Amino acid sequence: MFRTTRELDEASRHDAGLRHLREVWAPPKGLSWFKGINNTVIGLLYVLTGLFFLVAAGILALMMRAQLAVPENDLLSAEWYNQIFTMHGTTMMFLFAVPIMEAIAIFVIPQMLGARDLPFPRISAYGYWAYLFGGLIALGSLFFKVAPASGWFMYVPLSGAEYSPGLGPDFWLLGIGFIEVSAVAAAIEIIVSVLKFRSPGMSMDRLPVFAWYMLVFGFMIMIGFPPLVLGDILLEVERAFDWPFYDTERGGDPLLWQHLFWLFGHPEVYIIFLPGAGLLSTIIPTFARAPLAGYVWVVLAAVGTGFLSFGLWVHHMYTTGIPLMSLSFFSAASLAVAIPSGIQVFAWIATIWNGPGIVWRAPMLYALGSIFIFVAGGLTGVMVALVPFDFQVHDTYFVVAHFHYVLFGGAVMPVLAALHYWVPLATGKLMSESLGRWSFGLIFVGFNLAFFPMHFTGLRGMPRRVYTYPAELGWDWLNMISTVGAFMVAAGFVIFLWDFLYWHRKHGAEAGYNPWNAGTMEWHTVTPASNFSLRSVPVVSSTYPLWEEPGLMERVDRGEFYLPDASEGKRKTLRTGTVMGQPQQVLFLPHPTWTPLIAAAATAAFFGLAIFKLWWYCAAALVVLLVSGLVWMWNTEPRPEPNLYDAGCGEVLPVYVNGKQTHGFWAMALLLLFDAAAFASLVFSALFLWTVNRDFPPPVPEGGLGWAWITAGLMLLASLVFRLGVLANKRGLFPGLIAGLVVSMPVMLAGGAALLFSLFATELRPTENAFNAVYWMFAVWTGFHIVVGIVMVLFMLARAFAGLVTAERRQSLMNVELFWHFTAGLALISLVMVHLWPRMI
Amino acid sequence: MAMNVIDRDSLIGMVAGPLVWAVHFLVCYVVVAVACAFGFGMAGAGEWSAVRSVLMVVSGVALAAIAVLTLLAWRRWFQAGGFRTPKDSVQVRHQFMALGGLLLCLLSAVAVIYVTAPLFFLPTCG
Ligand code: HEM
Ligand SMILES: [Cu+2]
Repeated sequence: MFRTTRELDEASRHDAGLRHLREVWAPPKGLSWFKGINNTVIGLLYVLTGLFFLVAAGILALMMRAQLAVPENDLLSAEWYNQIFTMHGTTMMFLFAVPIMEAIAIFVIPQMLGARDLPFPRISAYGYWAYLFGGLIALGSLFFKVAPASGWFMYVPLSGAEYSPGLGPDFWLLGIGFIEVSAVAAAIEIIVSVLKFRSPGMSMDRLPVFAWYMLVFGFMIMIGFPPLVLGDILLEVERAFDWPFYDTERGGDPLLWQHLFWLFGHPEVYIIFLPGAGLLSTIIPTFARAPLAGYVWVVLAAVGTGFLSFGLWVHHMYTTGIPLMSLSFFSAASLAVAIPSGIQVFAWIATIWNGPGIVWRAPMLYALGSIFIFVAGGLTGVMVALVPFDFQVHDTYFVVAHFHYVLFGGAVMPVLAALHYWVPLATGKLMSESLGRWSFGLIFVGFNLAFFPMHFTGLRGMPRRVYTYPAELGWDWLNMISTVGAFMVAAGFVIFLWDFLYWHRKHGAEAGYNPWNAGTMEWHTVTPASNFSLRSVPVVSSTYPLWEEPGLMERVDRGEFYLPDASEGKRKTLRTGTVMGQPQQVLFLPHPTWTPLIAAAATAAFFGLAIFKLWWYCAAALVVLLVSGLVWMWNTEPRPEPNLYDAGCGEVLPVYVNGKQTHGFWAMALLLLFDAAAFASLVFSALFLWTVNRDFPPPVPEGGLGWAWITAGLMLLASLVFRLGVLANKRGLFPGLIAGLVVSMPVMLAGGAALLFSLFATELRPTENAFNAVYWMFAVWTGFHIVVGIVMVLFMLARAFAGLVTAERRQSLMNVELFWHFTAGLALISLVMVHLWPRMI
Repeated sequence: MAMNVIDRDSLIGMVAGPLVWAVHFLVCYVVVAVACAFGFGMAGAGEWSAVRSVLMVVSGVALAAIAVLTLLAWRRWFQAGGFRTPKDSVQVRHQFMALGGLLLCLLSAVAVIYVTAPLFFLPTCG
């Protein structure tokens, strides 16, 4: 077994397989380094970028605290303060908390699962660059003092065109819209990775517990982000084109925004907290020297929280005049979600109890501190979940104290623990123990000093989001303490970051092999971890292979298991079965390439230019995006002849597989799940406006029914023709395939045109009132899918003529087909919502 | 077929309980929202209304569904060894998947009961 990097170097001199692996997986050098797509490269960049945004948001927090230190302070103007607290919240939630969890997962999940890389390395690279550019666009607005100023939740009408005429909200909407792109990319990557790219033998009951959490996290993003994406689009369309979704004068409703926002916003809190809990559940067993107690209970807690947290959104809207009975449903769900949270805390305590005693190292200090702070936040959470209490403290500093306790304990402290814990995988060195104690002490004490008094300032009535306050209300010394605490936290962070970024790399102790004596597989070999993850992909038979299977790792390092070589110069990984983890396919992975970076830059240009409404330049950016996308996709589906690969361990596996179990199909299906959730939010919007706007009934369209029937017919026909083409292809009838593709396009286009005509015929104009705007939004949504679908089919045609679509090679065709039928389905539902539903009610 | 979906090794089977909860929650929310908007849920606290009865029935159905799922999970769990620790890894997996499903069913049942409770003593709208 390799215990030092020198042993590894030595071994690769006479071990050809190892040498090949190192060559094939080495990141490119020089400028080409930016082509890198390997999870270790991207994961590290991701983490560093997340920390950068944390620092930025932290500086904003200090500015606020400095302003609030004394009454009647005039350090910051009211307007400037508004921008700062908005960007503080936005940056923390969107640019730090969610991405850093993805970052850590991207870095460690493959290693932990015993995979060589993530299933879609280029997509994670694209997601990373999108995140970086989008974040910089959103944050950049601060430098010109044109940042959004309506709070991180951007309530309308405050953020609407009338009260926020500048560019601020556009920066927010487009910058954040962009972040969502990257979050979705990462979520798909993580879900597919956890379900399909594990070591053989790693069945669902042996999954590292962090992987369970990240699985739930991924699905929560797929369902939780779409409402916000939709709300964003509606708001941007309202601002840019005056379609009144939220404007009460024309039948819109600001509460619609609140619903869409909190449908996302509450799950978001758990999207942040669950990975944090996952980190704790990974780190605590290591330092308690005992396996996680009640594994199945913890899995239950993660999955249960994931579900229940979707029933909580209205608890942010208790004071908005929703029927009492409805409020009580949300209150009930808010109390129910405390059950799984409690279970996790008990599992952690039991783990420590089971072990022979705690190893008091810095990551464990952070972990324990995190539990303490999180529990304190959970207690006030139960308090504000009760409707009468919430009426009392709504929008006071009590709430600020509550959610910072939850977020800091649930996310920030676990992240610090995790960075301390896993940094040797990246640098091969340990962070300083004494600096770690200092930073922990300062952060922990400082945090409580800063936020505990806020409970009292809140109970004494100090409202949130005010830039200053009069002296005689008894809030001054409490605020002063908070400010001192905040600066202590900052000092702790300075120490932590200095150690993390610089000191430990220069002076830290060599980490060597498994420095914490952990049980999960990311520690299976010498640090820093190799880009290829493992020498060979093992067959595991426990949750903690390093603890429970002595000798296994020697055999891994001798190359006795799967894929021990890369002699043909290709990156490969193993795809395994979803539940049982049996080997099913050898997957060839892409090598470094520029396309993700170019595509992300083009996406950034598109959103950035859209802020300034430079539509022609936007179109140009779109063309670049399209071209890079096509180049990117062209080389997918490699299909060697014969389609067999000797994977090692005496198993010969296919390289190319068609069907529903492939990773490509899963990615497409997940993407459409996201899409469907956004579309469902649009349906929700229509129904919501209908229930709240009693004196503004949905206009009943006159005419257009004929066109609607024609649309329906054409859409069904387009689907049918496509299906026939696919069936022909399966039989090897190439002309049949071409005919199917060629004919289905104009049919679908005609269907789209008929949908448009059906709306024109009603003479309902989108700017007139909210319902008309929603009707048109259905058409726009469908139209967008039609355009994308046509591009996909043209691409399929090109591939077909290049001989890349055949009876054996039909996966991409299958994916396109799924999208095609989905589009037809969208059109049919749109017809129902525009033409049928208003006539029925 | 139905039995296939909630097979011993299916992830959908594991989360079937929470899915029932989700549907139940959505139905309750939508029914009350629509009823209050159109003014046919106006009965005060303690009074019985059509909306309330509908939701009671919905909750009953949800609880029954969860009960069935719980029984199925219980049976799968029992077949896979129940409280005993089997040596065979296939059995361990079945045991885990079934117990996970079982616990999630129980959690969902609690959540459904929580959500149903207000029906008994709160006014519907207002
Ligand atoms: C020591 C670190 C921190 C300090 C001193 C701090 C300080 C503050 C203050 C003073 C406010 C209230 C602004 C106001 O209502 O006038 C605030 C709001 C907020 N903070 Fe923090 N914060 C810290 C860390 C965090 C973290 C880690 C997160 C999330 C991961 C976070 C998320 C938020 C959010 C979402 C808001 C609400 C912003 C809004 O109302 O629009 N904060 N913070
Ligand atoms: Cu919430």
